[in-house]
Amino acid sequence: MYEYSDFDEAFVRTRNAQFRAQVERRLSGALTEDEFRPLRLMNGLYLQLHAYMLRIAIPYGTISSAQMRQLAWIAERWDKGYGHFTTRQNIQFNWPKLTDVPDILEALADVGMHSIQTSGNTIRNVTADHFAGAAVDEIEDPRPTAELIRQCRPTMPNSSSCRASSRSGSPVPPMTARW
Amino acid sequence: MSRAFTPKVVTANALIEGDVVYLTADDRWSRDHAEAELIEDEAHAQLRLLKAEHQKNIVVGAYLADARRGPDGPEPIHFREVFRTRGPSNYAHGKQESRHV
Repeated sequence: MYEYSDFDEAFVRTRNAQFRAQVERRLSGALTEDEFRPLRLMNGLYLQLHAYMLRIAIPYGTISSAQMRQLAWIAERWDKGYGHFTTRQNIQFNWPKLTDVPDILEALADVGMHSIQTSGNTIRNVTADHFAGAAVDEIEDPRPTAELIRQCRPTMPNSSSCRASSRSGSPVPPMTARW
Repeated sequence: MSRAFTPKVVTANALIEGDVVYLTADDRWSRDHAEAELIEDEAHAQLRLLKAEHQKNIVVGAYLADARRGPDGPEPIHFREVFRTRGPSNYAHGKQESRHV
């Protein structure tokens, strides 16, 4: 499976540092909620009916044992000991505190994971069959193609404003696919 | 003829934890709906909402929710507000968790 390059590592760490500063500015009052909302959403953090929710990307549902153990550790340390796997093969923690999220993102980066663009009008994740590479009747392993898509999606300028349907006046052409 | 005012409580989410909270008569934010101030005057409701909206470093998304007087304090009326007093409906998560231990 894919492993972070030095560039990936530096990119994610920089994003995490930016988000930590944004949280601090929100808590200090330097950012209003209206200003902060799009920033937290770009890092996969929602404020839902009952609590915050952090969604973490698991590209094409492939995860190493080290990553799985880190998710479990995060759940034990900063959440309620569990998470929810989504139909798009991501995982969500449903009870994180806002003040803990920067530390959670750093713990994710330690094992090559992140929450970047797991929210909003974007390609949330690249999914693949959970028997990829293992099914006897498989025609072709989808993971190499899924990995190519994953590598080109997170930072593409258009990727943060993809739409499932057209909106009047939108400067961005609508996408019909929902990954 | 104007419609009768439905009593309200001021509710929001806590900024740090995200928990559902209610404004009390003594200006605290309680996790318990029954401790909320039941506001029966429309003008007073707007004033209390303004006060809540100014506490941007404590709560997020303050609004007025319909409520009624109950034997143990204010009770929610709308089912969405009932959910917010309990937690998710799939399992005993959130506020209802402690009642199922």
